[in-house]
Amino acid sequence: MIKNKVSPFLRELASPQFTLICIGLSMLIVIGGTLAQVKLGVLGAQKIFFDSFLVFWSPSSSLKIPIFPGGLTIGVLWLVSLGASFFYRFKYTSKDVGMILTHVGIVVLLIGQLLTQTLSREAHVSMSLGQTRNFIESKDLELAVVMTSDPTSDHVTSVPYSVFSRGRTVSAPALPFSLKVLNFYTNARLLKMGAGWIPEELPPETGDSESNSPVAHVELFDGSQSLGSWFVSSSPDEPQQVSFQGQTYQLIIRPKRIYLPYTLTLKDFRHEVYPGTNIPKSFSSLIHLDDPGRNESRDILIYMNHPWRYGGRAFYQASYGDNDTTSILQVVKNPVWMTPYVSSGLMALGLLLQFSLHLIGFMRKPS
Amino acid sequence: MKKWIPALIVGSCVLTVLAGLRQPPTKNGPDLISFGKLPSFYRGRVMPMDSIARTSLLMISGTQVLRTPTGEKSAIEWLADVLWDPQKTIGDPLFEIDDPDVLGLMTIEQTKRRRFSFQEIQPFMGEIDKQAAHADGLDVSQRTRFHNSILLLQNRVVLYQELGWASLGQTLMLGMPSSEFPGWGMPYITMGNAYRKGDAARFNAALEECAGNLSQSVSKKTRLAGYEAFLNHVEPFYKSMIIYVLAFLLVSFSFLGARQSLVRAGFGLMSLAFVLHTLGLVSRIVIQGRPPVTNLYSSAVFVGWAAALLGLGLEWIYRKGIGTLVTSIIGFLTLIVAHHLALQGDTMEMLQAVLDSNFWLTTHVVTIMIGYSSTFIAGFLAMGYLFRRAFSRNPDIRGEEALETMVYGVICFAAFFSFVGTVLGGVWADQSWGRFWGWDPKENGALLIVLWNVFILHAWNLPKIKPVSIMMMAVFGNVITALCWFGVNMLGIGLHSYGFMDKALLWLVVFIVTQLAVLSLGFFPSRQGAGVPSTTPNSSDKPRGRK
Repeated sequence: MIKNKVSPFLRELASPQFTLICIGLSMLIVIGGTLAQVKLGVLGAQKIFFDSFLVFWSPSSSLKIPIFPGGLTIGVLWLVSLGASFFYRFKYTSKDVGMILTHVGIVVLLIGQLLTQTLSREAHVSMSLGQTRNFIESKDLELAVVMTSDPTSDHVTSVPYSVFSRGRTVSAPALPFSLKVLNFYTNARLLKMGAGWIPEELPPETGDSESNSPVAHVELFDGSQSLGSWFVSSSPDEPQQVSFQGQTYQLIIRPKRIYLPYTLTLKDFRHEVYPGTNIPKSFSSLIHLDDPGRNESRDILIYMNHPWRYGGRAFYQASYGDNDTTSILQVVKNPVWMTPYVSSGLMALGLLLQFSLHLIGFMRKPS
Repeated sequence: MKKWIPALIVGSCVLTVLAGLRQPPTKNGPDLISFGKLPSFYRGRVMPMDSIARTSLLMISGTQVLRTPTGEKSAIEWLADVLWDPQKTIGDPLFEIDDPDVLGLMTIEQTKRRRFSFQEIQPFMGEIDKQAAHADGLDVSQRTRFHNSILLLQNRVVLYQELGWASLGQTLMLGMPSSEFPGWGMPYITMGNAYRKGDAARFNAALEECAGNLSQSVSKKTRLAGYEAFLNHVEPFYKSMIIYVLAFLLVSFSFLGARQSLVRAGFGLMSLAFVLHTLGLVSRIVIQGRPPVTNLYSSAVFVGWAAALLGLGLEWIYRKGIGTLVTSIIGFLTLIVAHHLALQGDTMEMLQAVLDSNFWLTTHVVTIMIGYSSTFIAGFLAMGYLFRRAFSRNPDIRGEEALETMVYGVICFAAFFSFVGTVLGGVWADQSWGRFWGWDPKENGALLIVLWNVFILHAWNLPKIKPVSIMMMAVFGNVITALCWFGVNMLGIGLHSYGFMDKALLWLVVFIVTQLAVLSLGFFPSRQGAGVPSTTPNSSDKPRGRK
């Protein structure tokens, strides 16, 4: 009964016309997303155009009108249409093996990209020469409460951005007080006013090279009694000190730290240029890995086009700083990183089969 | 009688090319041609003095030959003067200045004269430096034409001074690790002294000593540098560009008469141009020790080469002249683009670290360039289809079907290569920064070409869509490919942007407008069959089912 209603609809989705619509929509979203990068930067445009279900147009800040399906919607539409084609359109004959393989490849590619966009996590680790790190930093923010009065131990309690930006009261078992975010500024700078600070809000940065300096207005509570409020920023020059029950705590907003079950030490960083020019020839970082859990202790060389995969993460030479004494590695965790390889293998094989058949026909035709 | 016409045309062109291989030796003067072959280390790579001369002159004045009031100076003659007798060059009309405001700064009215000497510029150097420093501090998006021009002029003066005026050969000698080039030292100084005094015999003796030293100590580099200097002299790309035009003209005239012989002559010339094009391409691979495409310049050279190769293949199968006609235009256009890109500097410059991977340059870049190339071929074939449909009264259904088959075949080819190339690019990106796909403008551009070719292939299977619409889509493929190839660089963003061009934007727009104009021919009713009784089916507007 249901099948009878669904089937003509799926048949429609499997039609070549609908395929053309999917391709056309994809082209439009890609063009839009590319042009928007001039203003929004690659990441900004990606969020709005490709990592979204709908693309909004906002003529004023309060108004948001959906004007185009986002990349995720188009991807899903395409998948549904392809899936339906497997049932209603494709003929399973020996002549069409290439074509079928190609389309299976596209399904894998689309699913892989959808999963990557939702599951993949990018972070980075910045190390100066000789420095040892046991954490990487993600693009998200956290509000960290660091107990500074006891420098021997590393008492840190952090609140993820998703929680503190919503104005909820947060209490953590490790903290003697609870805290509430009264206000949050995406980009602001703190100005000294007498003994305290006031935030001056700045327009949010959207480009790739600039970054925001967030500020949170936080109130601390001992039970229900307020201890006062503080402006917490991301600048290490403006830390907020709080003394409570004989301990000193520092409040700071910083990139969210993800702790690793092993440590990395930067032993050497090399940045070579071609003689007589400023053109970089190569970058490389010599890292020492210490993983007591897996009993691993060895040196690793990470350089351009040669990432290092370990424990589900891949480390890439991304950048450098401080006169070549600091190396910045990009760290990517993508559980489905294999899918493009599988799908491109399938598609290349399929297309090769299909087009060789065509080419033979094409060469024969004129005679 | 007509049989020997093609042989005659092709034969004379071959002879002209062969004659151009010979380099006339210098008579009673310093042997600057041999000097031009000496290897040196400049801008990060080993290159012959001749290449330093040509690249520098090209970057400063936009030409490879300097026209002075007393006569022409070749690049190497100019360089010898700059290195050893710079006083002689300060009056040469060297610096190309197009901007009226920059000229105004030097109280010069803009006339037809476009090149100015160092003598004329020198009194204003303080002001030029001041203005350039101001322009340099501006954000790129805020710079006006004046700012860009003053920066360019300052760079050119610095380049000129670097070469010799301020620091007599310092750059060359300093940039040259003496351990790598034992043999330059003393003879080089002797050469300079002898050159200044006009003592050709001593100059040549020192030169010979220097060359002898170098060919002993660094024999491979010396040989390659000598070969590069020879290649500079032969100018294979410039010559094949001209021969592509000749091939195009011959085949175009074939539509007026003497069809078979002219088509055959066109094929012959096309092959000759291709041989020269290949010579240049392979030589660059040998000299650089790199795959053919390493920068925007070489991408243009390669796209033209691949198009010519495919065109010869099409012509071999069909023998109708259309393969030659179409790919000779692409060969010419891409080489002229390359010719202008060469103004930006050394075309064999070293590669940024991230690009330094011969494996990926070979697989990803070459594949994607074949994709661009074949998309252009399909587009230009479709242009031919639209022209015929609009202007030829001669109904030729077989010819039309042959063109449709060709376009279909080429688009399949283009779809395959652009797809494989794009995926390989993703694999490279995954290897180098952990992201198979990052929505980078260049990636998106490649994706658009794939999507468009796939769109056409799927549209082909719809009986509702007429062949003429498919052809219009194929022409639009030219627009998309041009935008993705060059337009993306003009966005000036993203990890892949390897060159920003100002004037190129204008030409890109011109190209797109012409493509759209040709495309719009498809909107008009076909002229074929006009004047023929209406019982003849109007072929091109008749829908027909395809496989």
